[in-house]
Amino acid sequence: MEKTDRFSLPFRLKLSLIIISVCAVSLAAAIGAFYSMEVYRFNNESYRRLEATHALLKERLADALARDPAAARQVLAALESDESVLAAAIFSPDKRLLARYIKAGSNEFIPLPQRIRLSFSTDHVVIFDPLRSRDGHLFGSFYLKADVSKLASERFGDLVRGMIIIFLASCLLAMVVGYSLQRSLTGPLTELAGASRRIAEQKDYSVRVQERGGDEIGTLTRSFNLMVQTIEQRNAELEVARRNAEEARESLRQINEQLEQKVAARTAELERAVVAAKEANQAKSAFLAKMSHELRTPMNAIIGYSEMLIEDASDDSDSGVADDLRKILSAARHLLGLINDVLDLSKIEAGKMQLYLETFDLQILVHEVTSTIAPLVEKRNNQLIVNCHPDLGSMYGDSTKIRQTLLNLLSNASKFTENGRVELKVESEIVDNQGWIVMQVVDTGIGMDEVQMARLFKPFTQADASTSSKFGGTGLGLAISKQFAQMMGGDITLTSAPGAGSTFTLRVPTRVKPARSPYAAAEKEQQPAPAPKGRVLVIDDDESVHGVLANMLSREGYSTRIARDGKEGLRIAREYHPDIVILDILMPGVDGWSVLSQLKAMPGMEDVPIILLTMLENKEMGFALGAAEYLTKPIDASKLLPILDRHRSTKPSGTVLVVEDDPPSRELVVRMLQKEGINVRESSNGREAIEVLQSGVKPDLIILDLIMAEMDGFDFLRQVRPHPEWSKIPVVVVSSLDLNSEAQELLRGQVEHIFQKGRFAREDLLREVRETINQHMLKRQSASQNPAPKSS
Amino acid sequence: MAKLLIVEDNEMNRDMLSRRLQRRGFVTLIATDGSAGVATARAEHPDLILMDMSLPVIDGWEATRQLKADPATAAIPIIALTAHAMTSDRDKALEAGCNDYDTKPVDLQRLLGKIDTLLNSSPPAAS
Repeated sequence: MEKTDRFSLPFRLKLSLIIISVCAVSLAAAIGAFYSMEVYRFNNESYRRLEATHALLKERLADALARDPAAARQVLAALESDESVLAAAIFSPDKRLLARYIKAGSNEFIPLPQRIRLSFSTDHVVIFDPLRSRDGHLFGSFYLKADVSKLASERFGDLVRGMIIIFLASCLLAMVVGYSLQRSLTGPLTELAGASRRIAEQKDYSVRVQERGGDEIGTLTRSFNLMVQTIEQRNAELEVARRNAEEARESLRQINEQLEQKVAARTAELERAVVAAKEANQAKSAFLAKMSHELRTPMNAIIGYSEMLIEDASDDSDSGVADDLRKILSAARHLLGLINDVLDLSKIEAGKMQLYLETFDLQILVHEVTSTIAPLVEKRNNQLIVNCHPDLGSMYGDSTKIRQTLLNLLSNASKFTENGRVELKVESEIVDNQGWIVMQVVDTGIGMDEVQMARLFKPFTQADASTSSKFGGTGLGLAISKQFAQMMGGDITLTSAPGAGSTFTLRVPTRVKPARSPYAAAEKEQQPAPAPKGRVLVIDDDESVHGVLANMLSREGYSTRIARDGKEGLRIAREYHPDIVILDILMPGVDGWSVLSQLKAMPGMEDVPIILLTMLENKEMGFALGAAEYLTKPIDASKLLPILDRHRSTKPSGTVLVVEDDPPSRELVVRMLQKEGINVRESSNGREAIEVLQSGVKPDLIILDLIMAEMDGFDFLRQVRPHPEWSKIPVVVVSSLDLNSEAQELLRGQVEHIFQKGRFAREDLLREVRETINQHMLKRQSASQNPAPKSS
Repeated sequence: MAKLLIVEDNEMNRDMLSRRLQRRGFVTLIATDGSAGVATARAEHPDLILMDMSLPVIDGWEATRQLKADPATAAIPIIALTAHAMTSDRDKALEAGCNDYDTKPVDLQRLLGKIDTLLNSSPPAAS
């Protein structure tokens, strides 16, 4: 059931109602008009009749009155025959009632004469008429009241009844006719409506409405059909598109799925590969470790038992057996050497050879090595000379590898030398701010030629094929030694000449850095970028000056900005806050003198030194305007740089307390620090240093010598420790003392770094000082900003 | 005649060492694992212990610690026998309480020297 609005009726019914309403209204109007007309006509008729009666009566009355009033009365009485007359009366001219007639049974009275001649009401007609004779003589007036109602109602009753019947009949007729006629209109519309509903409900776009006629409804129908057709087509297209989209999406989804599967498969493969690689790697390591152990164990047994049997045999003076056993022992030892070398090389090649870094004493190592090699050297009647610099101290490296390398070099030297000399020279040197340990093995043996030297470090090649049988050895030792040296960041080099002996030089850094990879070549220690010494602003229009100055300044570690004229210069000065300004006086635009004054006047720039660079000679003016220095062009670097240095930092960057008893050493350090713009306090021993601290000086760093009179460095530290503000000051030890581990232990925890005199480069100390001061000052700054809670 | 306790799990090493030391005139006792080593040391009070570091049951470090912690055995000098020559191993041995160390494979002469030194020095002061 279609949901219709409560107030909307079906169209057909509406139309019918309209037709009926129209009819009804028209009919009503017609009937109403007719009725009124009838009423009017009736009244007129009544009146005319009455008038006739009345005229007749008037005549008779006039006649009667002329004779006698009683006759008039009789005339009036004759009115009885007229049913409708209710009352009549005659008045004299002076309004006296002369005669009257009242119908029997009616409640009537005779009113006074009125002026109105004729009046109608629904029931009555009233006439007041003057009576005149033929010659105009006024007799009096005449009153007549007649009842029209009965007649009227009769008449009108019929009329109304008739009208109602006509009305209804007409309406009915109208309805019927209308109903059948309206079909031609409402039919198509209803059809349209039905079609629309069907389309809307069932989405059936094949529905069409039959086209009838050319009127508006026909147009509507045609348009409707066209519209539905369009919708149908569009729908079909959409459907096609949707299906295409569906298919596309489906294939996309499938592709995605396939991709996912592929990715998953690939990932699984990769994971498996990774696991496999890891396992292989672990297997390799495990293998190497195991082989190492497994191979050496039986060898040790062979060697051990052989030695034992030799002892037994020697005891039993069975020299024959002992000799044979010695051969076995020798072969076994050789085999063990081969095994060790092969394992080492395998490890190196597998990338599994590691550095085991530690601090160890060089002299002890040298001693151990030489004691071990001594028998071999003596066996060939060679002289073993050890030349070890007394101040070697310790180094940080892989002692085992260095030992192995030295033994290898020394055993080679002794093998290829007879009745000669084998010397081990160990020294330290500093190259490019880096410390190196240089170990040289010099022999006076048979030497080598170029061809032999070229082949030397390759594994499995000795100087020539017969070497191993003549001289023993595995041919692997040098290759391994070279690898070791390179792993530690150093190298082995060789000089030799046939018959003139050989010199093998092993160089390793004093402080070996852990290698990135076992095959890492020596890495030069990076020079840390020096902290910019300051910011320099150069104001000059001459381009060539820019280039020269920029180069010079950046080389010296200054950070530079260039301005091409005064205006730019002032702008940059405002933003950049340079520490030093180099200003040319002769410039276009704003002239240099003016720039000078303006710079000086800038807030924050009052203390910034301005160096005038110009061709003019006008020193007084320059200084008067506040220039700090005056240089003439062309620029002489040797003059400029010291000036920059001098003016560089007006605020001291930190305070250092130098505790050193040896005046030249002290002066060296003090000057070095001062040149960097650091405030220095000096003291020549521990006691003086304590006094300085007590006087309230708060240094950012203490440079401490250890061996001093009165109070040495250790004591000083001991004195300092209980005082919280003093013990916080970082200490850098600079001492000639070669510290053993005990001493190092003592100092550890109190001392930032230990520099050995003669061993460190100036730059190292400077860098350490700078870094430590900066750190300390930062700590102090943050401490002052966040005050530590009060200790109990 | 000094009594030496050899704690070594490898049969051949054990055999070699004990026989060669016996030839040198020592009386040798044997233990084949760490805990047996501790027990034997407690029972027999040897004059010196040669302790291999890689032992079953409890390893050489632990055995050494136990022995040094027990006042009855703390005075017995112990020489650690390690396969590695790194300083850290040396340090580790000394930290555990060993009096000295030597590397394997054993160089008898060297070892004899160390044994000699330890036997002839006065009992070490408690560290």
